[in-house]
Amino acid sequence: MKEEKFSLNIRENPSLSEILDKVMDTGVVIRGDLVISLADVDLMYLNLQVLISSVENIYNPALTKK
Amino acid sequence: MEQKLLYLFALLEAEKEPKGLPDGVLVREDEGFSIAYKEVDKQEFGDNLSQQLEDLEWVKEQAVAHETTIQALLPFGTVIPFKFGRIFENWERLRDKIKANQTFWEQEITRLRDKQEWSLKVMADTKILEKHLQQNQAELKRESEEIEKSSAGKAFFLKKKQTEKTKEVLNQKLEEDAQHLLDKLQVLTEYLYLKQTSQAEGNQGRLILNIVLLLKRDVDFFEWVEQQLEPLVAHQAYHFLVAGPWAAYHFLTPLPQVSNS
Repeated sequence: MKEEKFSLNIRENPSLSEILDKVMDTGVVIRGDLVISLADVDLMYLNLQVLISSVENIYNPALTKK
Repeated sequence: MEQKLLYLFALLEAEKEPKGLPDGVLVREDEGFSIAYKEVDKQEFGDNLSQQLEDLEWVKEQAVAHETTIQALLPFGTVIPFKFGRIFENWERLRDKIKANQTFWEQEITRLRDKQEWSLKVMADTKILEKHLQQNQAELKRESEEIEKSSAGKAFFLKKKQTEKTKEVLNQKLEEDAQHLLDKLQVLTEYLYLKQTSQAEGNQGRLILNIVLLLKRDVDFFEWVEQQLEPLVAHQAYHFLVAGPWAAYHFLTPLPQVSNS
């Protein structure tokens, strides 16, 4: 039987979701004089995820090699 | 004159002078570190902030600008990124906050020097895999042959039985392959952070591995995946989505509570 050769795709620009995941969910938490709505970040993050769920590859293409 | 606030991006142990940073981003030497920040309008980030936060486009722009700055700093040395939205009244306040944790920053920079974060998602196209298993896995292959030889009625029931069996074999196969890939990744680094996967099928298949890794700066993870992971599953319906390098977001130590007041 002929064996199928399946595709392998290894390079992709990071999605906006991934960027949000980094900057809003991680990073050193230092208390500034003002903090952008810390208590609402989770909610904002969820709303943003809905808003941008279909948006991909908007980030600087130089980040990843093609 | 319009009043300004300072938005803090990162601490940097600069090996060379940062250049070509996004508009408005400044790097100032103080307390033995390079501190990356930008001046922002008090009206926008202070007085009207709650209003701005209702504008998701604005929030999205700020989040992307934050990460764009961190990315721009990466080639110049070890970067300790701060969480989104850290704002100070003036330079003295910002500097005092950094100074209060001087030893902590030094330890973090030493620990993360010459290391970068990468992310890897492995997706499985279950439709292709099911077909592959039915053609190649001994038991499923035997059932496929029996279905072909059977009458329509018998074939219907055999097919139903085979579908259930295929699901079982598929899940087992996915688990085995995910573990196999993970074992290989653990040889590359002990700094692995496993994120949530799901049984749900997305556009690119089922997410079977979702990993963040901390790697030495000289590792080209794109190349490593191509050369080291691809051969492990060369004939399978897997997609490897690699992104990076990033600052070591997932591998930062929490700031000591006592100083974070």
